[in-house]
Amino acid sequence: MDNMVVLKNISKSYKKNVILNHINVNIKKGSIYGLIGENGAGKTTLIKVLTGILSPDGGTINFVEEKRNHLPRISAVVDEPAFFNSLTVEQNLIEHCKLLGILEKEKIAAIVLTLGLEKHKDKLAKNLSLGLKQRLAIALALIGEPDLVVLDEPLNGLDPEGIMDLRNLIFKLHKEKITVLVSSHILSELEQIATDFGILKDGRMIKEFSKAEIIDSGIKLEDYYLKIKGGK
Amino acid sequence: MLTLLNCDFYRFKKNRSFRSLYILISLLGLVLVLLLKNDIKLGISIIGSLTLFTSPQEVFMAGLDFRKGLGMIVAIMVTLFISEEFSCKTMKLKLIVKKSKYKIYFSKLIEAISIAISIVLVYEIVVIIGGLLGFYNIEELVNIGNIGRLIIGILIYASIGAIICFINMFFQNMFTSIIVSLAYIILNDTFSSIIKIIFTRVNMESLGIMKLLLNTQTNNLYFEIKVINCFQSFLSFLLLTSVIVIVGGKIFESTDINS
Repeated sequence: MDNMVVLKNISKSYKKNVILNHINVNIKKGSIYGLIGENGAGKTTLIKVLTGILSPDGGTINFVEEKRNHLPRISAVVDEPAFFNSLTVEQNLIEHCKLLGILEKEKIAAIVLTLGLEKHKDKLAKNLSLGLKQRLAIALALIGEPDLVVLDEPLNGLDPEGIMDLRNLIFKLHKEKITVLVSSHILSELEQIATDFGILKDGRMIKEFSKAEIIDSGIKLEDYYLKIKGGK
Repeated sequence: MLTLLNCDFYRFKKNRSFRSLYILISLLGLVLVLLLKNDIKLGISIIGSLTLFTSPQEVFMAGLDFRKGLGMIVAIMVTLFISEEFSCKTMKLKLIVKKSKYKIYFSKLIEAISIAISIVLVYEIVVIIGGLLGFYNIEELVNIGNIGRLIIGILIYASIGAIICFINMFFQNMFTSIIVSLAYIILNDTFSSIIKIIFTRVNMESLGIMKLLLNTQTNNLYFEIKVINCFQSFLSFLLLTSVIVIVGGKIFESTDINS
């Protein structure tokens, strides 16, 4: 499988704290890449660098498609869900479409339906529950028909039904050959959805592996992670 | 750049608080015009100086030169508009879709200037409509001097908008930006005078440029206005905006955004 994104020697520091230490990441086109790491390992910073929110201090990010004169469309839900509290769900989607330079009402209606937001489309975003806010953020991420979707802890705040919906949505994206990067603490969930994994520890990528490797090892992702990380 | 402006103006249009502020400004103009019609004399004292609205000229000038009044509304509105991006963490959405920081900064500057100009124009339009409806004798206002005053007044507010934009993009925090912006509006005259005195004392060669830079901040609209004054104000606005674009843009580009 071709690579979608290759990150080489990425470094990032805040004040004198090294958050990312010469990290290399290969994300295959059409894969679901599960990013694993404990709190403070650098997952969110790595995602922010990958999506262009933060500039790395060093290293390179190469989108393979870029070479073919097509800049891949990236979308992401990073950290807290981002949208305008003063706008309704629908207005947020319209605003984002305007930013992307697209405005197709059918597309908005479809994404609202897919994410179960149709009953809430006229509500102000600030009045939504945490789970619905997460859905809105995902809707904003998907509306531009991206080539790469990055979801940072997308399961946070979702109820069991929401988790199932998100899982199905990720599978749907995978079927459509869209590359997905998901970071999560819930390894059992990640094991079900991801096809490739990367383990971050103290700002370093300690291992990248495929789902086949876990299957071959005969143990669960959680145990595999602890074995590699050197935990209990 | 157009998509950035397009989506931001859509948000502006849909925000109820902003619509309320425009209604408030229109009401302010309307009340003053109605007071004129009924020959009621009203004095307002804001931070020391007493403003008396006893003639159409004073009501007209109130919009252009009442910087501590409408200026505060400009500061609040621009801050609420720009800082919402930081408080809602939406700035990152723009970066994710590969909009450059410089373009984002420049679009915010255009929007801040547009908001500032629209505020003064809404007030003046209400006052002029009042005259056209016969609430006072509009002919008292129609002269070349007032056209010049209107142009300079608009440039003054445009400069205020640009500076408030710089403050917001620098601090990336609504609370700090609103405090600093209001402090700037209140202490603007004092600050500009101090800078002028310092530059006069040290007799710097750049005094000419500094004078020009501070022109829109210290303009007195009560004297006779000539074409040269409008030209100077325009140059001053251009210089100030260029400094804000270059310095502010560089700072914004080199700092990690509050995401």
